[in-house]
Amino acid sequence: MAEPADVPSIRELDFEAEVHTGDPTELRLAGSADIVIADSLEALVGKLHEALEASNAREIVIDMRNLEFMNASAFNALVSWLGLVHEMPPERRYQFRFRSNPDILWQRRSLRTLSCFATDLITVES
Amino acid sequence: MGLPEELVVQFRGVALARLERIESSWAQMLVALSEESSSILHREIHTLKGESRVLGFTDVNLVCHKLEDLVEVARARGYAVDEDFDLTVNMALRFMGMLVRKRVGSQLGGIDLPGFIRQIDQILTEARPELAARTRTGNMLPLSKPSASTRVPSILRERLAPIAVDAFIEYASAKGNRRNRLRAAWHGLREMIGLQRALVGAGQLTKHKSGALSLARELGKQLEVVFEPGTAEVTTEVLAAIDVAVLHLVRNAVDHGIESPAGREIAGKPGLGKVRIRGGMRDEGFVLTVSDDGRGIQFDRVRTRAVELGMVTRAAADTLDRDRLVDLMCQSGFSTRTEANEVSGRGVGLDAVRAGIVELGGTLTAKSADGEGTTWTITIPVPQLTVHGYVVRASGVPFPLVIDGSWKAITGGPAPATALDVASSLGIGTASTGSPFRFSRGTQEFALLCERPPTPGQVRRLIAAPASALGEIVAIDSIEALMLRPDRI
Repeated sequence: MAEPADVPSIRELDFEAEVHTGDPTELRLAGSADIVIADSLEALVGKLHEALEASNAREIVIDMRNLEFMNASAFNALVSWLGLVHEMPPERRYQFRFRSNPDILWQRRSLRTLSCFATDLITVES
Repeated sequence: MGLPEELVVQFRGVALARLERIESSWAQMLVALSEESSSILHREIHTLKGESRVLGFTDVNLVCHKLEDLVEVARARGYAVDEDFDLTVNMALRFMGMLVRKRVGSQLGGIDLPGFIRQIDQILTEARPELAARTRTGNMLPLSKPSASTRVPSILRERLAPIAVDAFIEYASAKGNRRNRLRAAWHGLREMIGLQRALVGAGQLTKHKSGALSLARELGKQLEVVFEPGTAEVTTEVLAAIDVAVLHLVRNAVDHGIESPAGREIAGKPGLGKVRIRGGMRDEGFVLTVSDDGRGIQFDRVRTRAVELGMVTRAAADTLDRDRLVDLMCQSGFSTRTEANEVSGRGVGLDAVRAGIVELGGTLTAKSADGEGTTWTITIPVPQLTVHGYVVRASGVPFPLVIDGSWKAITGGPAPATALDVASSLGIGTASTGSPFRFSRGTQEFALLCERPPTPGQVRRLIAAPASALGEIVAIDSIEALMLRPDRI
């Protein structure tokens, strides 16, 4: 699938974030995300949100199955993203579908906590 | 009737500013302990908790209460918390931000407050069950409390440190389920042998001031306590040794040193005796003195008592100088009291004080002048807990490396002929990309294959390993990293 020109991927150190447009659009995260990439991730998420908003998307899939580690600074990018969606009129909000790896403990715990922010917007698959 | 909208708007602004201050002081405490950040952190949370209750933001108040519990657990651990814990604190702050922004009285919508609270409770239970279950009293816990059940003696810690470094490397380079399993092993070792930070200062030692005054009242003595213990970031072991020392030395000063008001009058002194506790960081470590203006050590009685107890012969006792006599006073079983009283005189004080200090490489000395008083001086070396270094992302290494600040990063100049491939050296992969970056120290020089230029920063030591180990484990915020010893690779 083509990558939207205005949402560049991140390939830094052992972290990768790739956007695959489609129905639904998918954000694939892999490797290890820490403070070093937090700013890049926040920027990517902001651009992706704009693109999804512009296209009246109903859903975004975030594939974390190959994401080994994500620290608080990087995870905050996802929390901020939820905040952006919360600010949209309810009828225009899109859904978050997380694909998680059940073998990775922090994913189970963090996604469970994250879903408490917006049970109506988040589903977690494992 | 609801609150005036104006008040609610004002609260929102104030609460969001408080949340920002809490977040930044929390981040600061993860790097280096400071009374200032600690005080901002606790004050802001406590105030926000109160304000949210008064203004009817009961959901914010509830999360604030839980945040306070989280910070209390972190405090007891010297703020050495892992990524999950850090993430939970950050999420709690964001969650509160969301609650503050939502309209008063509006439905929670998709917000699952009970679920969120359950997640925090789970982290609290796992982090420190005995603290999580503690009934809150409103009193601050000591900033760090060593867990006697899981800590191992310092000599074993030194031997286990290189093993812990290897365990970290294995854990941090593993993936999936194997990573989870090794993480538990690494965390277990870190808990047992890691450097645990604590703050020594008024907050931790103030109980001894009130203890001294209460003891003086009990003994019918008049006392003024001058309390200037200083403040410093130390390890929990140093804090524990200082705590025990101040307890015993202050009690000894009040019981043995300070005379009764009548006795002081006869000696031509004011009836009010004085005990002074002063401390602070010096080049040689944390130095704390406990002085009194009492009668001074009665060295003749010390000599006589040492002979009576069979510790020395009469002839030998007569040759002992004052320092040697102080040394005798610090030996197990020594007491000038012939009958143990309720306060001291059981001979278990000074030897315990000295043993705790000596085990940490410190000293306990005393200077005394007849009729003028005694000054006990404790000097304890404090391991450096925060160091400057370069944070490096080496090619093929899935965790950050740190090169300590005794090395300097060299910019410019010719490219080095060879560069160290740390991933290969550690046996965790091969560097397929990257550029060489050089470091020098005096005449020594080496280059590392890195993904990006080294960045200077401050790191917190987690595991202090002997020089023979590959390096030490440090933390950049809550991210664990290997502080490499290039000469060991």
